[in-house]
Parts: sequence; structure tokens; C-alpha cells
Amino acid sequence: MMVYRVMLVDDEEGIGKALRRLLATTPCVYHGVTYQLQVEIFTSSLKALERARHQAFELFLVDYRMPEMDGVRLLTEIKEIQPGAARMILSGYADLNALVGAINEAKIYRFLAKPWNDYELVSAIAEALAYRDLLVEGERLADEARVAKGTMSAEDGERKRLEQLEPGITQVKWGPDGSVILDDEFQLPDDYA
Amino acid sequence: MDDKPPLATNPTADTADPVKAEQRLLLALQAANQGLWDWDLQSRQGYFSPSYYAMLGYRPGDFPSDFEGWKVLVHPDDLDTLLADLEELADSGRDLFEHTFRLRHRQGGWRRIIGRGLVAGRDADGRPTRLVGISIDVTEQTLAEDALHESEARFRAIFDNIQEGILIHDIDTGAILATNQRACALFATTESKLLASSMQDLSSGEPPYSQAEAVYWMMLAAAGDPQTFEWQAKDSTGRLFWAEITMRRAVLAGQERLLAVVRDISHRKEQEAELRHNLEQQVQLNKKIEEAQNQLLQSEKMASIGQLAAGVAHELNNPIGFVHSNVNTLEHYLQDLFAIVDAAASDGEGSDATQRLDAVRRLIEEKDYAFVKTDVAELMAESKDGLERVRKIVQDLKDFSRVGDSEWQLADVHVGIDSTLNIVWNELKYKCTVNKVYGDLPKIQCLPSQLNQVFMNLLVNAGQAIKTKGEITIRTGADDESVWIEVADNGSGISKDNLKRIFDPFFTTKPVGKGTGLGLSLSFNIVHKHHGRIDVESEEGKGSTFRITLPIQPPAPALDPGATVVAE
Ligand SMILES: Nc1ncnc2c1ncn2[C@@H]1O[C@H](COP(=O)(O)OP(=O)(O)O)[C@@H](O)[C@H]1O
Ligand SMILES: [Mg+2]
Repeated sequence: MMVYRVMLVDDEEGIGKALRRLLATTPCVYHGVTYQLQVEIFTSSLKALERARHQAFELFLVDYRMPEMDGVRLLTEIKEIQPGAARMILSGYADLNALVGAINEAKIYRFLAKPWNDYELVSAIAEALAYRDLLVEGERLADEARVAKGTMSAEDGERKRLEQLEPGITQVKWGPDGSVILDDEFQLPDDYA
Repeated sequence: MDDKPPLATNPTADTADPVKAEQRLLLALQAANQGLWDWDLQSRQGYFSPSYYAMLGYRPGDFPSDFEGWKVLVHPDDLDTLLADLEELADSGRDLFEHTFRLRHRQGGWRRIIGRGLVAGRDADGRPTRLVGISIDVTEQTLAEDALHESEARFRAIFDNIQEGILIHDIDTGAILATNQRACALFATTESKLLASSMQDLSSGEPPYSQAEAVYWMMLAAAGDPQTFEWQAKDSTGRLFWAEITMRRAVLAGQERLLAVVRDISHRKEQEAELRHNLEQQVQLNKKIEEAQNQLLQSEKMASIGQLAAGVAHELNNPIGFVHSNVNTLEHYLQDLFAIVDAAASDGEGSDATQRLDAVRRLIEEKDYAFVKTDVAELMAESKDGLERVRKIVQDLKDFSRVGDSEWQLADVHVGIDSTLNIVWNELKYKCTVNKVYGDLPKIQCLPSQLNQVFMNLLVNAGQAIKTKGEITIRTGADDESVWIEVADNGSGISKDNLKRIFDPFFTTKPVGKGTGLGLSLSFNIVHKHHGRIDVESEEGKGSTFRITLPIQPPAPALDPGATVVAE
């Protein structure tokens, strides 16, 4: 059975902990499908971004107002790294700028308000995961078709698959001075199976 | 009768000697400055005693003692009446006559003479043939009388023409004995009618301007204590007017009287009324201005709270969010725990102790009791913490938004800054560090909630001047008379041009929704109300420092026109 990785980012520790409890005690179900979740919590958006460079997640749920980097910027960066993941914002307050940014730049799936309704939140997560699965499956089928039709090489198809498992693994990043940027530490996450 | 003193020793008894008698008469006439004369009207010859000549400055015989010689001395204007009088003596048959006329004195000038005489002989027709009499020089006397008349007339003129009406009352009955013309004019009546009036007729009659009060004032004045009071008087047409009356006891012509001086003060009263009216309007206006200012203060407060809404909402919704969710989880945990307890306590048929124990153990395992146990403790601790934060934010908001609280009181400025900082902090914390460098401050007499408003404006402005990362430093200090509070930022700074305008109402460089342009103008007013001052130093690109100086004990608040003044 597939385990879905969910990253929660909120500078407020209590939020992360409460969400972890919620997701541990409440089954995440959509249309009869139960999604098994594995939750990681971050209180720093920079650390969260760093983690996202090394570990694929199926869903990111982030706060909007955070000191180092706000939620829209964080999700916009993450979208570059893991375009296939579902993105949601959970915020205590949002002005119009935040909403416009969230929709147009970070292209989020849902915008949830604090305080949230537990049931709605879990349903939204399940829904987002189902939607993501649908997109991924559609993409996979399309790629298969492309490979079959010869419009895509088998290597490209494989690269795409790998990229989804280990973001950035197939790419070399060039710094502004032309140097190759290496991740400062290359290590597998603890729970990497 | 031998024992009587001899008659010769009594000079008055010496009347038998005609020479002595004549001598005596002439001496007496001389002493009295009176002249004796004797006219024979037929011969037109006369006799003038030496004292007669002396009276006019001559020696005896200096002018001829005939009618023609005498006539030239008579004042031309008086001669005709003199002759007419003579004629009249003939017609009326009267013997005694008196006549006043003027005679020229030897040194020039006219003497006023009274001649008193007797018809001493008549002819067959009854025409007087001889007149005998004396002339008295009454010039000095007349002059004195004239002067008296003149001065009396002068006094009367003054009496009648002064601006004050005067009533002279009988001290016992209060009856009006005399008045002047001005009093008649004041009461639109004639002197005789005024003299017949009572105090009741002259007063509005409305207490406290009725007879009873008038009598009371008169009594006080009669007791020797002069009284001045305002009176609503009534003239003969019934028109009411305001008068100021001074009443005092006075001795006039040896009689104790009450002297009432009446001054028309209608004009003054009108002015007073107008003044009062103006003052009332002023008070109304001040009230309106104050209301408007309060409204402005309120709306600015709302606006600045609006600017803070994002921070506050975020700050509230976070703890509410997780506490709410934690309670749901707790319910979940409780259901698990109840299931375990129920299993242990159940005495269902066919279940013995070991079976029950197995079931309980299975449940404990299944529900992960060990985890729940530790997590409940954590969950409770976190939730309590969250609730405490909500309570505090709400309290801070309440503290801060108390507008109605406009009492002057002794307050600690640091408490105000800190409670304001709590509110603003939610907005600032993502981009600023705030340093507090507090000195030792005494409590100051102030309007704390209004000062908070000032602190908030300065802090919000400082925060808004910082784009992404910056520092705000709050310094405080005091000297003997005042305290100062400084809010410094290292943000955008203010250009020289703008520096002149930042205290103008509605001056803002911020987009709609971020700035109202009222913050500093209102802060200025509030500080001004505290008799303090605001100073600014700013350099574009480097930052700004706002410094407020406030007296520890502001001078007694300027007399608020709305306040009641209790006059001594
Ligand atoms: N600390 C500051 N740093 C830079 N500019 C400031 C600062 N405080 C005030 N200003 C300037 O003064 C103007 C007026 O301030 P204020 O009266 O508080 O109105 P508002 O903040 O609503 O614009 C601001 O728009 C800003 O241009
Ligand atoms: Mg302002």
C-alpha cells in the first residue's frame, strides 16, 4: 500500500503538532479510498525548502505568514522542484495580495483558513491527494503513449520517474558564475526505504 | 418806690433829651450802614443823613440834597419804577412803602438799596408831600443770596441732568420725597406722579423684585449699611428694565433720608446676555469640536487597528486553530480510553477475569495507550498555552482600544508602551527586532489610552518604514520635570520636503489602506494636550527618530469651557 508523504510548514509549533495528531487519529478518506499518510513538520520555511530538495512529497500544506519566507514564495519554489505535488495554504489571515499570489504564482489547490474544521481539512487533504494521483496517472499514461509513439525517449520517461522520487537527482544546477551547485549534503532521509 | 434805682442811670430812659436822641440815632444808622432821608416833594428838596452819604462813599454834602442831584445817582433802569411807585402811593393812599433799586457808588458800581419809608404828609388831593425813611445797602447780602441761588440752580441742574435717577425716600415710610428729572425719564413719568409712587409701582413685582425684597434692601440701607443691587424695574408704561440701585442713608437738610441712586443697566444686561449666549455657543462648538476630534481619534484608531488586523487575526487564529483541533483529538483519545475502561469493567456473560484482561490488553495495544498517555499531557499543555495566548491578545486589544477611558491619571509610561507593543508586535515580528532601553521613569499625570495611541502610531510608522529587515529601538528617560520616549528605526527615513508636512492631517506617502495620514497629526494633538512636544530627526535612507517629551505633572488642564466653575 502506498504511503503518502505530507509536509506541514508553520512557524507556529502548536499548529504542526495539532495537525500531526489530527492526521494520526483521523482516517484520510476520499471516495472510499483511504490515504495512508506520513507527516513531516517544519517550523522554518527555509529548512522545509531544503528538505523538499531531497525528499519527494505528495502534498505540501504551508502557513502563509512566516518570518523567513512566506507561504506563497515557499510553494512557488517548491513547485519548481516538485511540480507534481499537491500544494495547499493554511492561513490565519490573508489579504488580497496573498490570495492572488497563491493562486497565480504558487498555483495552489486549496486555500484553507485558520481556525479550520478538522473534518474539512482532512477531506481537503484526501481530495488533493486523489486529484494529484489522477494527474500523475494521467501524466504517466501520456508519457507511455509518448514513448510508444516515439515522441519521448525511454530515458526521458525514466528521468521523469526518478525526478519524482528524488527531486533534482537528474539535474545539474548552474550557479550565476557558471559553477556547478552541489547540494551541501547528499544524504538519504532517515526513513528512505 | 424810693428804693428803685434812679432813672438817670438807665440810658434808654434818657429819651427826654432830643439832642442825645438824635445823636444816638445817627450813630446807630452809621453802624448799620443805613442812610436816613427826608423828602419834601413840593420843593423837591431833601435831607440825607451823613450815614447816607457814607453808604455811597461820599462825605456829607458831597452831592446836593435836591431831587435832581439825587436822581443822577439812580440806576436808569430803576428810575421809572421808582416814579411809578410814587404815583401809586398817591392813588392807593398807602403810607408805608418799600422799594428796591440801585444807586451809584462814588467809586463806580451799583449798590443795591432797599428803601423803606413812610408818607409823612399829603396835600388836599391826598398826594404825598413828604416822605421820610431809611435806605439800607443790601448789595453784599443780595450778592450772597444770588450766589446761593446760583449754586442751588447749579446743583439742581446737576441733580436733574446726571445719568442716574435719584429718589430720596423717607427713611421710615419709604415714601418718595424728591426725585430728579432723570428718575422721571427712567420711569417714563412726571415728578408729581413719581412722588406718588410706591416701590411696588416701580418694580417688576416678580420675586425677587417685589415690594418685600425692596423693603428688605431699604431696611439694610436704613441700618447704615449702603446696598448696591440689581433690580428689575418697571416704568409707568409697564415696560420692564434692568437697574442697578445703590441705596444709602444720608442726612439731607438735617433729616435722615434714604438716598436711592438708580442706574439703567439694560444695555449692560443685554451685553451680558449676549456674552452668555456667545459663551454657550462657544461651549457647544467646543463640544462639537471635541466630539469630532474624538471621532477622528476613534476612526484613526480603527484604521490603525485595521492596519494591524492581519497581525492580530493571524495571532488569534493560530492558537484558536490548534486548540480547537486538539480538543477534537482529545475527544478521540477519550473514546479510546473509555473503550479500555469499559472492557475492564464489563461483566458480560461468559467472560471471566482472564478473558477480560486479555481484551483490555489487546485494546491497550490497539489504541496505543502508552502514546495517548504521553500525548494527552503534551496536548493539554499546548492547548493551555494556546488559550492563554488568546486571552492575552484579547486583553491587549481591550486595553488598547478603550477610547472612552479619558480620565487623567497617574500612569506608568512603560506599561503603556509594553501593552501597545504587544499589539503591534504581531505586525512587527516578521521583519524587525525591537530593542527596549528603558530608563527609570516616575509615573506621570496623563491620559494613558491616548498616549498608547501615540506610541502605536510611532511604532506602526517605524515598522512600515522598514521594508524587510530592520531594528526599532525604544528608549526612555526622565529629568526632574519631564519624561521622554524615543522611537527610533533604521528604515526609509523622511525627505526634507516631507519632514515639514508629516504632522499635517491627511499627509501620507502610503498607499490607500496602509496610511490615513492622520497618525502623526493626532499624535501631535495628544502630546500637545499633555503640554508636551514631539521632535523628529530623520535622514533619508538611514532612519528616523521620534522623541516625545511629556511633563510629569502637566499644568492644571486649561479651563475646559464645558466644566462648571464654582465661583467663591
Ligand atoms: N518612522 C518613519 N519613517 C519614515 N517616514 C515616516 C515615519 N513616520 C512617519 N513617516 C511619514 O509621515 C507620514 C505621515 O505619517 P502618519 O501621520 O502616521 O500617517 P500614515 O502613517 O497613515 O501615512 C507617513 O506617510 C510617512 O511618509
Ligand atoms: Mg502612521
